[in-house]
Amino acid sequence: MKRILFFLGCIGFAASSSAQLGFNPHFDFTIESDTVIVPTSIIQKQVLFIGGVHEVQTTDTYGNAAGAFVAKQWHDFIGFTADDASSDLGWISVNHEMIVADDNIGDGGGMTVFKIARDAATDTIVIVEQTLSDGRTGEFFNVDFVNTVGETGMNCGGIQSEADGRIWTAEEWFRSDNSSIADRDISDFTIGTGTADGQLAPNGFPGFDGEVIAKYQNYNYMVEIDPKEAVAVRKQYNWGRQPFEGGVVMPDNQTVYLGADATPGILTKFVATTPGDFTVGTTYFYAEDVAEKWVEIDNSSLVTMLNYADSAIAHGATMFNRLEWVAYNEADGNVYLTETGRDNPASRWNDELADGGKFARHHFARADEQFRTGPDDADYVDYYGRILKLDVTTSEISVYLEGGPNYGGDVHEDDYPATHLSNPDGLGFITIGDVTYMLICEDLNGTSNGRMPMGYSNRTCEMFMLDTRIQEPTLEDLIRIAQVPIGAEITGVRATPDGKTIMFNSQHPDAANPYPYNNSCTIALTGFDKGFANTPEIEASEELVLYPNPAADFVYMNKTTDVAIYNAAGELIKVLREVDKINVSTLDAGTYFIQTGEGETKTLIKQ
Amino acid sequence: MRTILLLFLLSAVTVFGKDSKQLPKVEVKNSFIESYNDLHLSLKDLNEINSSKSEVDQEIINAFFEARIAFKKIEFLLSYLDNEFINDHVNGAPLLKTERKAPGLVIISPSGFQIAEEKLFEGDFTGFSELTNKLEAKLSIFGPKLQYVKLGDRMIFEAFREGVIRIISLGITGFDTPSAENTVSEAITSLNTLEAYLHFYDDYLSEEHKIYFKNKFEEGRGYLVGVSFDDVNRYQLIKNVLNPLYGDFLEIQDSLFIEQRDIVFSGEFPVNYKATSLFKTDFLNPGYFSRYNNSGDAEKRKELGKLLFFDPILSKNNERACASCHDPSRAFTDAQTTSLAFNGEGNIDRNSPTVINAVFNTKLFWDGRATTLEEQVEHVVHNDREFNTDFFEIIDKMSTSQEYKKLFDEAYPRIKKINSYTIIASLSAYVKSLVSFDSEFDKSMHNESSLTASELKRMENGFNIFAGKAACATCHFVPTFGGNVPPRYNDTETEVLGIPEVNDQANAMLDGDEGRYDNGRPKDRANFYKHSFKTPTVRNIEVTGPYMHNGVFTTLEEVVDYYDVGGGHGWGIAPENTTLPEDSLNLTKTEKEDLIFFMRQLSDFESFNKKPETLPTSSIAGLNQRVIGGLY
Repeated sequence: MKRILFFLGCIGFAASSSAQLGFNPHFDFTIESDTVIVPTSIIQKQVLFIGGVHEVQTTDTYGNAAGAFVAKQWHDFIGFTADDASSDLGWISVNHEMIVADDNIGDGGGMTVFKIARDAATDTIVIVEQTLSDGRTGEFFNVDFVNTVGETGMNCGGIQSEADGRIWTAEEWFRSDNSSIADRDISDFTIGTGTADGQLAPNGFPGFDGEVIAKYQNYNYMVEIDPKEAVAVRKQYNWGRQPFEGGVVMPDNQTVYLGADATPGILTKFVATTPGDFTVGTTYFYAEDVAEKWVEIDNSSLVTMLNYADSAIAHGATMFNRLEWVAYNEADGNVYLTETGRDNPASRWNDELADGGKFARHHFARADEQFRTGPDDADYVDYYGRILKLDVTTSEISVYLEGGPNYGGDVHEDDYPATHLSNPDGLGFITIGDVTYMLICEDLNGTSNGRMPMGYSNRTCEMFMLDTRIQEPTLEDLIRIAQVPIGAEITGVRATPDGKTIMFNSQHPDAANPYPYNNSCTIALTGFDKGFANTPEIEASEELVLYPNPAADFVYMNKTTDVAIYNAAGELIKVLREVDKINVSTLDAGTYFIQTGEGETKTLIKQ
Repeated sequence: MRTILLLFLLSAVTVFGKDSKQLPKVEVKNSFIESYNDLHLSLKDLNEINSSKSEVDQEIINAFFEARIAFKKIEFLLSYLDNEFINDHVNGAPLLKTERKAPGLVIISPSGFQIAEEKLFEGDFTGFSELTNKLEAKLSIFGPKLQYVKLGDRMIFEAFREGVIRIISLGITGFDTPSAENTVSEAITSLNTLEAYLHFYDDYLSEEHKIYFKNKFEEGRGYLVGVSFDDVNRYQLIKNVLNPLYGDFLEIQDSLFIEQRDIVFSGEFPVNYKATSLFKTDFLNPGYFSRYNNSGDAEKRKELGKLLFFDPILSKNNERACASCHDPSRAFTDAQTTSLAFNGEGNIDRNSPTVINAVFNTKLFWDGRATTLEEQVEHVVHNDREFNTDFFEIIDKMSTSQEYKKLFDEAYPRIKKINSYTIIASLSAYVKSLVSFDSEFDKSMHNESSLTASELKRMENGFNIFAGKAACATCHFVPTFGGNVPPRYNDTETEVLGIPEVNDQANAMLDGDEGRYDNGRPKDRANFYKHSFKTPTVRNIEVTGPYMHNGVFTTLEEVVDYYDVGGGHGWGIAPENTTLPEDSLNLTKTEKEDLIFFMRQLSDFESFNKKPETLPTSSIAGLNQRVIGGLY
């Protein structure tokens, strides 16, 4: 007790002296300050689909009657299929990247589909009620995999056809025995028939019908679904059994590029014999060291397709470090891929090196920079990942944007950690007017080594935009447009073709986020056509100048400094250290006072 | 050659820093980088010695412990700055783990000091020198980044306080020193380091403060210098020095206008930064762990949740409530070996754990299959041997009660609905309120205990054994005395002990329950999680028996005897990857008695021992036969 009194005395003494290291908890109202108005953001935010809360309409599953059940979580890929026949925008398909036993929705992961329209008055998205041809009526529909293709699982990335919006879902997490699938039905699977225990696969696959495979071998494909009827169509056995993540069907409706999320990850190309029929064609893997770059793999052999990676590696396939998304850029006609990285890849791909695989060239260059003997050196690290560009004319792959911070690289020390890109994953494009922007979703393979600011920080993933007109972009050119709730990964970015709306998912957020952000959510940001601007032009001046950017919900400053934000009552509510912009998205409308470390003040009115 | 260049570069920065009077944070950073380089050099020295040898000798052991001391001179700040990197490569537990965020299940071998120390004392020279080479390589990759760290005063004070928690909960318990040989000298180094770095703030401290801290650190050293591992009076060291320092650092931070974490970050954190003692209920923040933390009216939600907890309407036969297995008069346990199943048809597989402080667990159920209270509720509702129902049935029944409708409307003024979300949110709000660090032990830390002097002495002895010789606190961490991992308490551990099926050491058989391995989470299906179970809290243990996941032990004496012989090792049933050491604890009879006496002073459930007086009535007469807390 005595000690407490003693300390109170000391604090009184210390507080009255001038020897402080931070901002006064109370604003000094005797200081005059100019007023800066922050207009309301032009971007409207909507939560469209909440996992664990919204109910999905199901079909008869494992003998359980159709009904309405709470949707699965872990949203990942988002597909958009335009509706050309009505004034509605189209169908949205959302993946669930999980494996759970579920009697009503189906074991494994799965997808939810729904239809959206745009409210003419406000431009906001509305969910359209539908009645499907199987009689289901509602807003959200569970895609039936159980009665069509014999289950699915860990639905991660996927494909939206650039030709006509057809949708495929990727079964990512690679299964190697029956004990690692949530499915309780582990009887053998016959292609074209299903299992003895009642899972059906009526559509089959030309050339493979009647072939019998172990149940776990019926996972890890690209699976086409029909988003309009909420049913799966077929598993793409002719693209190989791989830990697929992203892919793209090119505008020719013939060529498909596919990435695999593994170390080593292999890049695959498929060319359909007839446009639109993806059951017949030629499958290739990427081999950088071969003159023509693409090496055919026999897709008429089911054994080869089941052991795709082994076969490709044995024939010199190029090895990447976890390929994630694959996206088509309509501005230049090329394909871009995210290679998300893995901290210490050596132990993961050295066996395949011995078996004939070849490291992608950029990994040799990176290893050199790290003074390592090669990508097979145990101390070769790949903390941040990168975006790759596949030139579809030459089939050359180059690094388009390296993740970072790359200490000592192109980021100025003062801008760190404000400027960073950690483990890019989802990738997309939006064309606003005549400018095409790349959309990059961040995932975090960890928080160490600068992927998050050091010390205490909550794990937050961000989404960035990049103006594709910029030649040789750097991290400095990234514009941050969204940040998902704490603990969440940002996934599945997808823009509507009208350039107004960007959709994305907030996957596996922390429990402590406020409702609904404590569940996986599909979120829409609308208004990018209304004067979206890059970072404002900032003039150099000694005096503090603020530049509100309502599109990004940031107030930019003309200097990097410490900033305190006080509320209207003069109470300190936020301290930011060494920043050049203030995120005002979390501030309610009202009056605030800004004070810098140098003592300059501004009054900020958020409308 | 590269390394030398790097060191030159860093020391150039340091020399520049010393030329003129700098802000404390600049001096801290310079000193820190200098000490980091010392650590790197000490690893280099160790590896040079190794390269001329072929087996472990005293010179190697000495060089290894010198490197450990060099690490302890920066640990508080280095671990604070990049906790993940330190756990991955420098000072992580010597256990297998799975790769985070990997596409698939990938098992990673431990690396860093702790596993190296194990190899060292096993005499595995090759394994040891591989690990120390790897550690040096990691340190040389990481080092250059430190110059880019924007180190602020806030971060330094957060690191000070985290450093205090680390000494209390991990340092003096021997958590990261497998051989225990160097534990005490490392703890002294950690303490000295905090003092040395606080001196950079001398210009900002009053004379009274400076004298106060000088005396505190001196007093702390008094408990450690020249004292063997078993003899350290951890209780008095924590009570008189370390726990007070935890509060003192915050007072200094506030008085210097250094902003607190909560004003910088919008999210919640597991440790409540405003708390000033590890042994008060507010030390941890339930809001961080709870899924539906921010909805509805907090107080009404909690009261509604309490009704639901005691209302058997949640079960299919309207006879079982949460309280059936979680009886408040026994700290929310049921005194059964394993709990009775639905309809009285046998028993479920596992023992009923306390729900007091359960909100702080990030793994719930003995096998860790749920990550939040809210997720946990759903498992009980749907389990056909527990509530055997679903939310549609529950909502239908509850909707026949006007009283329930009104209570839900009031508790959720925006939602106004009885649905699975509002039911779960209410239940979790009640369980979230069942947090308490207010036992005689906690009170004694603030001189508020009502125990007699001799009882206090026994408790002190017991705690010292718990946190020292018996090594209990290396898994049952201070201050939750459960598997909640310090210093950030954002994870809950499971352990493989080798629990017998029945209490018969002569005919010992391993219990067949595979625990975490079999919990249905794909990432937990690694062999080393077979027979792994959540480390439960020891708080309220006096009334929460029988013990272990299968309730195999009836008394605390049996539990202590089991551990004394090395757990599953001593019983000859330890499965592969058992996480207990093989040694016997060699506890004397008095030591065992004091240890148990201490554990009995961890009870504080009485304030929660209240049931609702009535349950809401239904328009269906049959439903009004419900018994408060369940029929059985």
